[in-house]
Amino acid sequence: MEVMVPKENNNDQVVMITKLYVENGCFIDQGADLIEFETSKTAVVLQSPAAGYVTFYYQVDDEVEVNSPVCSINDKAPESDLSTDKEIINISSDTKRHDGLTFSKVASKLDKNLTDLDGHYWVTSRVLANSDPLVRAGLESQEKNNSNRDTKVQSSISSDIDVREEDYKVIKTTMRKRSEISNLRISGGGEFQSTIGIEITGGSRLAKNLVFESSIQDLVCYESSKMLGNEYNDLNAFYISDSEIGIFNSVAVGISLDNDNNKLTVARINDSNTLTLLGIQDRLGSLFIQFEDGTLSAESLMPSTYTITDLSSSGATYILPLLNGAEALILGIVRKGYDSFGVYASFDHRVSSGLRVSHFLDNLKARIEAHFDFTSTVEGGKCDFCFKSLSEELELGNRGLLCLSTPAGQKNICSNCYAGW
Amino acid sequence: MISKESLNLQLDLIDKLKAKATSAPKLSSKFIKSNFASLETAFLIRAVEMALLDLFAQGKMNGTVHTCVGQELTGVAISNALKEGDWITSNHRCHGHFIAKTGRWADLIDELLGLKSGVCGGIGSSQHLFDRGFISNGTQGSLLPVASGLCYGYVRDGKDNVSVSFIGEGTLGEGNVYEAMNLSAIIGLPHVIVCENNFYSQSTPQGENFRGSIQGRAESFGWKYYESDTWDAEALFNVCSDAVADARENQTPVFINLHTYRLNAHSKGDDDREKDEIDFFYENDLLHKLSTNKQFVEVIARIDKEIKLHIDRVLEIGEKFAFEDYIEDQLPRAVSVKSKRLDNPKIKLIKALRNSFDFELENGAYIIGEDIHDPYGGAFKLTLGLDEKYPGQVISTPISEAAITGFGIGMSMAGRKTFVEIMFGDFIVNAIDQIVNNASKFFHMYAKQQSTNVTIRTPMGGGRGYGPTHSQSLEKLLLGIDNVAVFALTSMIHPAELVHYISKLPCPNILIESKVDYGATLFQSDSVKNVDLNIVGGAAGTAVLSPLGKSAYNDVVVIAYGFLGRMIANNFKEIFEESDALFEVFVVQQLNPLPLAHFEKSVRKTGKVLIVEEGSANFGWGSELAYQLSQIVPDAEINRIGARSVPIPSTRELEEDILVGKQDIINALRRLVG
Repeated sequence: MEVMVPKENNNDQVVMITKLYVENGCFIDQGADLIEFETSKTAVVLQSPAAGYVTFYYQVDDEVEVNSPVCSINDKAPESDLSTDKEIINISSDTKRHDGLTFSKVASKLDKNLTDLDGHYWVTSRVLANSDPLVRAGLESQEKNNSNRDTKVQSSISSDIDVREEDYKVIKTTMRKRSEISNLRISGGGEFQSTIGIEITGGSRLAKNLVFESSIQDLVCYESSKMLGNEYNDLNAFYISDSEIGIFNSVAVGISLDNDNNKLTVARINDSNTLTLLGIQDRLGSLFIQFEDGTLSAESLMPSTYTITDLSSSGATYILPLLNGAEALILGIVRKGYDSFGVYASFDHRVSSGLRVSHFLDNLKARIEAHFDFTSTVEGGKCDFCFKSLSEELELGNRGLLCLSTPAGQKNICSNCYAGW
Repeated sequence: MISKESLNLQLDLIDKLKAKATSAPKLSSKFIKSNFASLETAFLIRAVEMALLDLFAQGKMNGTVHTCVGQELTGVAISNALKEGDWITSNHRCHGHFIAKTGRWADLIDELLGLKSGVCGGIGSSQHLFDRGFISNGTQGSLLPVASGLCYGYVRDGKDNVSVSFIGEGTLGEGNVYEAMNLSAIIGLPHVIVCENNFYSQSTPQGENFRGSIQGRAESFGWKYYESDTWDAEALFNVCSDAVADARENQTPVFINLHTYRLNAHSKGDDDREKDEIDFFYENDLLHKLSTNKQFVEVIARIDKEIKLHIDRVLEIGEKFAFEDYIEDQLPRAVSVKSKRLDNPKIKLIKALRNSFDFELENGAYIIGEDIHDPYGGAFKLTLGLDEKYPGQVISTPISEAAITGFGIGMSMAGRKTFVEIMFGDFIVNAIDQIVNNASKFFHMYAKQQSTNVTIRTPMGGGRGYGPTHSQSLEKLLLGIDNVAVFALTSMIHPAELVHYISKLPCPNILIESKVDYGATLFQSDSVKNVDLNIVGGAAGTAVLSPLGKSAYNDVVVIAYGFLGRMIANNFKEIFEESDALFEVFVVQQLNPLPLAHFEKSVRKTGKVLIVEEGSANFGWGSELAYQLSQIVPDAEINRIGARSVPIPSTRELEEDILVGKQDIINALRRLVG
């Protein structure tokens, strides 16, 4: 007997399979959990209407039309069909024949290390399995994932932007997200970008850096890259279609650069989540110089996975950054006060949600603020060498005391003592 | 209920019989004197029969008995005309014939008592007796063709012996009788049929069971006809003597119709005849009349005393045949596992087979079958040229599968190695009685006194579009018959060694050939790359096609025979490529007994077996092989495939679907390797 997908609500024409409770061909008891699928509202678990052997017509992440058959329950176990491609692990399209070796058709579709086949003349898939460590380890079906790629990918990306297929993996969006997109499309007139902002307090950095003395761009770059490379990987993504998004395999932050001479450019730092803060600062410095010189490399002009635009040196106190190309997140930095910055995150509602992005910003704030020393105050400071007070230093027209890292720990030093050093 | 017409017929026959009984002349003293010993033998027969009935009544005998009381003189009269080297084939009512021919009355009693000292060790009992020159069996008419074969042996030896076949008139309903009569007449054999016409077939009167005339039947086959009865002993003895002499001197078949009357029941107590009728013939019985003769009173008393003494003695000390001695058969169970490389000459199987038989004929063997004379040379041309080369050793017969097979059995009893050809395997069912009730049984039921090394060979198999009755593979009907070995030719192996091997076997054997395989050139070892071709087990060995490389990666053992074995070898590469299974192929020649040792090692190694047979799979060879393999390799996964269980159609596509094909083998291998 065939098992049909029930119509749980009037809105859904399709559901997405999220879990299969038994393996194909296995026996299931009547009433046992059979399939979980997701509607636009909730997840639904379907129980088996009968006892028998299950033959699934779909896999996890497949979409199935409501009121259509999703599997069958049979009296006999289904026979395996070696002729279908599903049974074959297709690692490589290369099929080489070695003189003297005869391969079965199944074996000929598998990649093989011919040196492991010494002593063989007739090669079956089992011979390969016992000889080839890759096959033995069980390889992922990348070909299957690639074959499921939606052709809509190309249509959602600007023809000016080149996103290489090997740079991302495709995942299905949930039914609820699709429903949300659909609603946004209807109600928002097609606009899917939202912006959320947060205020970050700066101050005296624990690790001084003259270049980024009055900016937090490096910290935003450093911490956001780390987060996007880990727990917020879903923001390191882009919209493909209502049913699919692309998650980038690596993090490459794009730095928005603009001056009076050169047009707006976004230069990227590859694998930004793997760099240290000093590394980020160094790369940023290089980009600044290259941009000024007009010598940015082609590599650095490749598309980034997300973008940071820093207007904290201007007088702007608010920004609504626009998403750039195949990205789901852009961070804009403005200065709110002397030691106060605003970080605004514009995101693609088709990829993420306001709640998710706000959590991201909360964490980003905490991480950035951890770079600052809020325990020391201007009034309490003094030169540890001549004991001149901060206020005395300021009266001399100097900016303040310098923070010196020494083997004995951090020391304050006035400019006079520093010059004499 | 007997019909009125049949009843009237019977009454008429009985009336005529009564007339014979009452009109018989009284025996002259001269006759009695000169035939005293014969008459004494007749009294001995009667006394033994009565003693046997008495022993049955006492519960000291097992089984059944068919006494010949009232008919004793037939056996005596015939035996008087026989000489050393002559054979008698008899039936269920054989005691009189046996005692008259051999004199072994005491051994007969022991036989029925089930004693080892019996004629056949107590194994055959009443109906199944054997001595040199005497053989009896319980199936009606089945020994007639055997007698014909024995005759042929005499003829070839230049001897003037005869074979005498005793039948009842009821046996004239059996086809075997007419096939044998036709065959003996065609060849011109000194075959004597003695029909003991007692006008009742068990319980059925002749008037109900018989039409036409016995004389007419005999003469229509060209047999010379003689007639007499058991009331006029002098005439009886003369007729029998003349008839036997006629057969002996003129090498011609002779039919003797002897009217007589059975005074006792058919067996022990089953008698529906009218008491008045029985009483009448008892009163007119010759021995009954003579029993009051003073000379015979003493004879009778002496005989009775001797019989009683013997019975008393053997009942005390008699020994039974041991189980272990009995159970052993003649099948070639010892199997060699010696292996050697197999290199076949480039020759077609049919030609190789013809050459093999040429060799056997050169060594004195015979081939008998339908349409096998030159220039036709047989339906598949196996005997082409052999008839001219070996005149008299290639015997072409009418369409009589039963008679041909019985004839071959008889010839083998006469010491002639005979290959019986059944033109199409489908027709072998006509010979099943000869195979099952004669060839298979002789060795054991005659207490291992007679072997039958006849070979029955026949082409089986479909693939030619010949239709349901010309395409069957009926091996499974022939497998498991007691003491009958079964072999299958294959173009994987030159047949010469196998043919010679089976010609020497003491047991009857059947050689299955494949009509499709006949035309194939013997398998060449270089026709498939990267495989080894060997034969394991010698003359009746198994061809083994082994893929080169690491044998630990072999997935399946494939066991087949005949044409299918060759087909698998021919398509080894393609089957491998499509199935993803690496397999070793064993093409067996010996189907029964199963040569498990040839492939046991490989089965243990792979743990997976595919058995492929040409006939329909259910209840077939593959099932038995699977069972036997499971006993020695319990964990083996075994599958067997065969043809579908429907008659094989003539249309090509449907026939291909019914028979086992390449794709069936590929699918089965795939299922085994998962």
